[in-house]
Amino acid sequence: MDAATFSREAMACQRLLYHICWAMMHNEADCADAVQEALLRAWQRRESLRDPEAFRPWLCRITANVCKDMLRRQKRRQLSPLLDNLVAAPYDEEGLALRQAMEQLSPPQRAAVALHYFDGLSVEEISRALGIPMGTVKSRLLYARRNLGLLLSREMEVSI
Amino acid sequence: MTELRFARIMKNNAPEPTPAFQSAMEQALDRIAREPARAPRRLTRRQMVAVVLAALLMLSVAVAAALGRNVIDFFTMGTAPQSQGMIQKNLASASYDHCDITIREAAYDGMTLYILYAVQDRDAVESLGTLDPYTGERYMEASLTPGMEADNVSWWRDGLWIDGVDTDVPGMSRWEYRGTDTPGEMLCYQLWRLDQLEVYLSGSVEITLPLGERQPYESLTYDQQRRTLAPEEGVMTFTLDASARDSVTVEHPGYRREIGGVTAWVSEAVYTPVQTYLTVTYQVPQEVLDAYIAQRGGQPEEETMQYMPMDLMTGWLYDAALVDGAGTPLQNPTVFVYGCEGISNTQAWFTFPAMTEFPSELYLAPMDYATGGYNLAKSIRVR
Repeated sequence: MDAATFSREAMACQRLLYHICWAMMHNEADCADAVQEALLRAWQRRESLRDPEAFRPWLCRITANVCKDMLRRQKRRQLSPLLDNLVAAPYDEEGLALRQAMEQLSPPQRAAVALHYFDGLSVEEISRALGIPMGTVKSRLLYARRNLGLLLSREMEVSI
Repeated sequence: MTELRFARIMKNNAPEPTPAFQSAMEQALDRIAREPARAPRRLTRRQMVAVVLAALLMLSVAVAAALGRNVIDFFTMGTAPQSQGMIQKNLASASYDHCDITIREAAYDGMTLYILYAVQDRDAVESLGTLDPYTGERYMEASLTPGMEADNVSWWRDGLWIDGVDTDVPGMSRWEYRGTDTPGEMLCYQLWRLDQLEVYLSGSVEITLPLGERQPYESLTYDQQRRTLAPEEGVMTFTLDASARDSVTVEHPGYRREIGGVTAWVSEAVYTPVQTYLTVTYQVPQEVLDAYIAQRGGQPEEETMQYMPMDLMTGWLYDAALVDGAGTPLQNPTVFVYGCEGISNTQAWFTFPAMTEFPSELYLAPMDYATGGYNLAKSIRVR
C-alpha cells in the first residue's frame, strides 16, 4: 500500500477514528495524540494488511489499542471539556442531556455505544474494532443502552 | 424511552471530528507522505542466506503455532500452559457423501467441557470464511459447510447427552466457527460451562453429540422425566476421561466487603489447570435498592427497563480484575477473554488465567479510570 492510498483510506475513516478516541480518552489533546500515534503505527505495520477491504477494522483496532496503551500510561485525568463537543451551538437540550448521561459510562462502554449508535457498526464489527469478544460487546451495549435511556429520560423529563 | 427515539437522539448528537483532530491526522499523514521511499537494496550473498533462514524460522514458528493451538488454547488465548496434556484427540468420525466430520479434540478441566470438531468438504477448492488480516482468523457467518447442506447434516438440536442424559446448553457457554487455509475445512470450537448446571463429571463418561443427519423432532423419544433420549442415528458418541475434577482446588473465601451499601464476597474459588473460576455472591438490602430507585425518579413503567439489584453492582463487576496486595493485575491486560462472564441479581461469575503460584494476598478490584490503577478500597478479598 502506498502513502497516497493509505492517506486516502485513513481520511475516509476519520469520523470513526474520532469516535473511538473521543469515547476512550478524556480531552482533545489526548485524542489528537492517540490518532497520530495510531496512524504512524499502522503505517509501520501496513505490510500485515493483506486484504485492503479490511482496512477500516484494522485501523480501528490499532487506534483502540493505542488509546488503551495511553490510558495505562497516564496517571492523572482531567475530565473534560471534551464532551462539550456534543453540545451544538446554540444551546441544545438533547445534546446537553446526552453529554451528562455519557459521562456516567466507563470508557469501554462509551466506545461500544459510540461505534454502534454514531457509526452504525454491528456487534461483530465492534468486536473486531475494539478487540473484545462479541458477548462483551452485547453486554456493554445492553447495560449502556438501558442506563443511558433512563438517564436521558430523567434529564429531559420525558414521560416513558 | 423507545429504542427508536434513543437511536435518533444519539444520531442527532453524534460528535464531529474537531479541527484539532483533523489537523492531527493531516500532520501524521503528511509526515508519512514525506518519508523517503524505500529504495530496493541489493543483498549480499550472506545477507540473502540470513533472510532465507529468518523466513524459514518464521514459517516454522507459524506452522508450530497453528498446529499447537488446541481447543483450550483457542478460548484461553494460550494462557493455560498445561493445556496440551489435557487434550484427548481423534475421538470419533463419520463420513457422508460430500463431507467428513471428526471429533478432533475434547477436554474437561473440572468445570468446563471443551470440544473441537472439524468438518471437511471433499469437493471444495476454496477456503471457508472471511479472512481478517489483523487477527489471521477466518470468521464464518454460518455454522454449515456446503457439503453439510448437501448431506442434510448439521448440529441439529441444542444440548448434548452425558452418559445418555439430555444436558441443556449452560449459561456462559460459547461456540465459535472458523474456516482454515485448507479448502472446505470448518472448525467448531465449543466451550460448555457444565458447572452452571451444577453438573460435575468424574471418571470416564460417554458424550453424545447431536451431530449428523438431521433427525425429525417427532421421531425423538423421552424417558419418564420427559428428558429427550439420544437417538440411534444422527449422533456421534465418544468416551471422555473426566477425572480432572479430582485434582482441582476448591475454596470458599467468604471475606465480606460493603461496597456502596451492597455486601459482596467471593463465595467460591475453583483453581483448575486451565482457568481460575470465581463466583461472587452479593446482597442488596431492600432499603438500598429503594433509595437507588428513588434517586432515579422511581421505577420506569416499562418492565424491561426497571431497576434490579444487579444495577447497583454491574459497573463494579465488569470493571473488576484479579490483583495482588499492591493492586498489580495478575492477568495480561491485552488478553481480553478474562473478567466477568455473567451476572444475576445475586451472583456474578468470573474467569481468570490458571494460577500455579499465588501472591500472599489476592483481590478482585475494580479499575479506577481516574488513576488508571485498581481501587483496593473497593476490592473483595479472594485469598
